[in-house]
Amino acid sequence: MKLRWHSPRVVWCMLCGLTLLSVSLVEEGWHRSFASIIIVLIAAVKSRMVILHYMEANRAARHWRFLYETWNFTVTATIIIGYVLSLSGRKMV
Amino acid sequence: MTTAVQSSRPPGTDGVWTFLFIDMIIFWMMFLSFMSERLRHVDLYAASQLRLNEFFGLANTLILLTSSWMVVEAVQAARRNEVRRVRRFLGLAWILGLAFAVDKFAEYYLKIRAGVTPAANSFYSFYFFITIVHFFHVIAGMFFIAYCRGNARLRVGSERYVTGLENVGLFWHFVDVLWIFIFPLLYLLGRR
Amino acid sequence: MDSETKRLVHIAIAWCGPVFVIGFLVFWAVLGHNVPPPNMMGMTSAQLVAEYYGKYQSEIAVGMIGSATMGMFYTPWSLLLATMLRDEDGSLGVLALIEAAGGILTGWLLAFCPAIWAACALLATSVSPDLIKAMHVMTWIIFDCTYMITTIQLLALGAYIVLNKKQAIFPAWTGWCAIAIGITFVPLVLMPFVTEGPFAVNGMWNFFFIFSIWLFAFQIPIGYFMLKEAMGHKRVARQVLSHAN
Repeated sequence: MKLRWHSPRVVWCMLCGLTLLSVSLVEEGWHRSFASIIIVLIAAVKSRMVILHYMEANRAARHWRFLYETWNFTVTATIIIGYVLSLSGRKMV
Repeated sequence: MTTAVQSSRPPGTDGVWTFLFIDMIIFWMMFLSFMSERLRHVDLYAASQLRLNEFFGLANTLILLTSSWMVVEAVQAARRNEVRRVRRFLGLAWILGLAFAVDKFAEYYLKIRAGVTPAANSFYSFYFFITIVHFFHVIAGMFFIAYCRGNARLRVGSERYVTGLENVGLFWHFVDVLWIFIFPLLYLLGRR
Repeated sequence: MDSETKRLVHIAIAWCGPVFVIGFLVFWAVLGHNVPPPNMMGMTSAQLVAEYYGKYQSEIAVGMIGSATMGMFYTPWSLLLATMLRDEDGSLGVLALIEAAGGILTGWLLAFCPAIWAACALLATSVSPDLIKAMHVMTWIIFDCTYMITTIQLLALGAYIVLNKKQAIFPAWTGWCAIAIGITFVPLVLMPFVTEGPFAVNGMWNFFFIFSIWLFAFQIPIGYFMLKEAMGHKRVARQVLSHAN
């Protein structure tokens, strides 16, 4: 049977796999800062997969895909920048 | 490549895409507010986070991801006019939503019994605020799913039903996307 | 009243919106030293008087009396908005009435609370600090925790815009924004119970975010479309007359 990479089942497997990977990075005691940033990037990848393949933003009007992907990027950047600033002890606002 | 069954028109309606986007901006504001506050109290936030059990959050993440998958299958079944499959997948999605709710209530119960309340400190204010607002969205989604499932026998086959179900699907996936960020934000970020 | 006079009246009332915004910003925010307000739950009575009312007594007094005047400009603006939320048969339906009720109550609150804060400022050096703090806190709890009067206004407005596909005054996104903004007020329930953080009276969420989005995502866009509609009457009247002839 030919594997359809973007079929709902395959997407689900990848999403669950990435979720378990995120938790294992924490539980296995990886370098905390590195693990935290990777975890947020994984969340961005997962979110994008749901937006494109479950919400089918890849078939919606272009401005919706653009706005939703921009939101995804903005949230990811907000969390990562906020986290990195906390490492250096600087205030965000 | 794309999903197995598509209709010839874009999914959902503009109104729902608009509503969800505005809702997503509100949640981004919550995340921004959380990260800003966290900067002022890094140690407090780290210590408070340790009292959250990440396996509750993990369970909820897997539950919502699976529930989203079920809704996708239901939408595809609706596009093929397969009433029984629509009802089956929506039923499974709803049950998974119920599982999310049970898990959430259990977590809240244990927290409050341990003296962790929204007024305990700003981390817990955010924890309860963000997760309760998200939880209200889950409850709303469950109502929409139940409504679509109840109407399936009469309405599957009409474009209006399919569009309505697509809109419900969009809402449910949006709820899933929010949790995809909420879980690491509250439970995992910087965890010691 | 002829249609031209009515149009002018509507335009004048539509301008009450910007007048309210500018007036309240000047009097309440700037003169009243409310950007942000003092964190009353985290301060002693003596601190509140020394660092706020006593320190800026005359400015706060003038600012709050000015706010009590400017606050009521919100009400006629909200009532004009209600007249633009008509059902297809031209009647004011329940959503318009709820919006009007919310606008009336919000306008009252925007005048009533500053009047009490003005009294706090004027009495700051002649009564006990505990009494000043009690009046101040009570008024802030009234101001913030009755948020539902504005939430129902916003929800009713939003529901009307979103559910009435045939109305052409307000684009759908303004309706969704109104609903979202109404819901963002809900964390104000936490305000009395926290002494710091985003949900405190001066917090990032309960002060900066909600007042900013109320201003930029509700007052300004809705006010713009209201003014556009009010100014458009003459054009519509001409079209009607020319078709009749």
